[in-house]
Amino acid sequence: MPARPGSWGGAFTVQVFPPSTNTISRVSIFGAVFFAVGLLFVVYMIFRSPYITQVNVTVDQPVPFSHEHHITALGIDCRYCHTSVESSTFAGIPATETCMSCHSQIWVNSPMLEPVRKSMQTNEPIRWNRVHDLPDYAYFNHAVHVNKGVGCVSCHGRVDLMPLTWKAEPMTMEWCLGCHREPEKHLRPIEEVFNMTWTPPKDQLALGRELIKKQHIPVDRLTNCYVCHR
Amino acid sequence: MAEFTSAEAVVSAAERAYEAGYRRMDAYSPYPVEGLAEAIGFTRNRLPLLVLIGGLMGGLGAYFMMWYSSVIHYPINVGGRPLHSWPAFIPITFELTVLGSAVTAVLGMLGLNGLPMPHHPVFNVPGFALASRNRFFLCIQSDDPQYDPTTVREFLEGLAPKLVSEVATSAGGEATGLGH
Repeated sequence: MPARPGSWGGAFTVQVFPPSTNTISRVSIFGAVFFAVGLLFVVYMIFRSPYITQVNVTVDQPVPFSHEHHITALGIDCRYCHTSVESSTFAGIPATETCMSCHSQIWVNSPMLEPVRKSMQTNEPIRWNRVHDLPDYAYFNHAVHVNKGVGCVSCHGRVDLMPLTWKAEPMTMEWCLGCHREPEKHLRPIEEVFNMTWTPPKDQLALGRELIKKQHIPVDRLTNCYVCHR
Repeated sequence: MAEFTSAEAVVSAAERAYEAGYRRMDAYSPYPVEGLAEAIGFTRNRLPLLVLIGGLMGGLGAYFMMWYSSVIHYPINVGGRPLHSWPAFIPITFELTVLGSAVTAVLGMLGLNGLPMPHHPVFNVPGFALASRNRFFLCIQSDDPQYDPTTVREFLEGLAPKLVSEVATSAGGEATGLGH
């Protein structure tokens, strides 16, 4: 083909792009959509994972206190140590004196208990590491839950089977609201609140509705902002 | 493929090619030439229907999203308004209708015309770069039932073009699939 007078000649007779660019350009356009959706999904999964929520992750403590040993093997009631749970917003971590009520007599030479003895001698409290730590703009009240029939297990899991304490539930607002919207799924009789092995009956929903009436639980107001974010 | 120097010439050439019975053809011009699409027989475009569907989906999705979140999922008393306060839902519904339509318009256009297509057999034609500057091209494709290299070339030359050339399909290149 001779160069055409007054035109661009042969300079533009060669394709700029090879055939593969057709596929590349189309795949990249539709691939970008799938990539964006996939990326959002991955981020969502990461924020739901134990990496963020710390569910099922044990926390190191100055003394490797075993709830399993003290509850299951010794049969101590939850309220022996967490005394304020029925009357206060904060369930309380037992003072060194509570440990020493037994451990001044038993295992007195155990190296494991050295921080407890040291705390007693120096009058310095043991620095326990918190496992369930809500942000301070969320106000949580233990007493009202315990007194309305929410069992320890519902939020803290089977603590009687935990050699070291871990979070059983994510403690996200979505999780809190799940029960505030439908408390009938989780309520139990008041006398079973501290029972670790209580299992819901087959007609849990009927029992729950009955307990809502009996305990005067204002289900229609439980999801309002001021309930927690006071 | 025939090259023309004016828009009127390529429109009348396309009309004559259509009268002659050619159907699989395409025309290339630097700007939208009125009547050229009809002249090559490109009269039906499904894009408006797609845009309508996309717009409806955007609008209905927006209204459903707001209704679901404020009436079903987390009903909350904000300023004493009713939960299903539809007048407040209208602006978002409108905006997402526009968004749904616009996104469908762009992606639907790309999907229907096969773009982006950086590699195309017509780019093998010498001087085709002028199709986006000041020349007009009419291409009768080899998948037309009436296609025959000799008669097509004679027919195109009878239309008084500036130049008639054969479109070489590059090795591994795909068949022209623009339009229709």
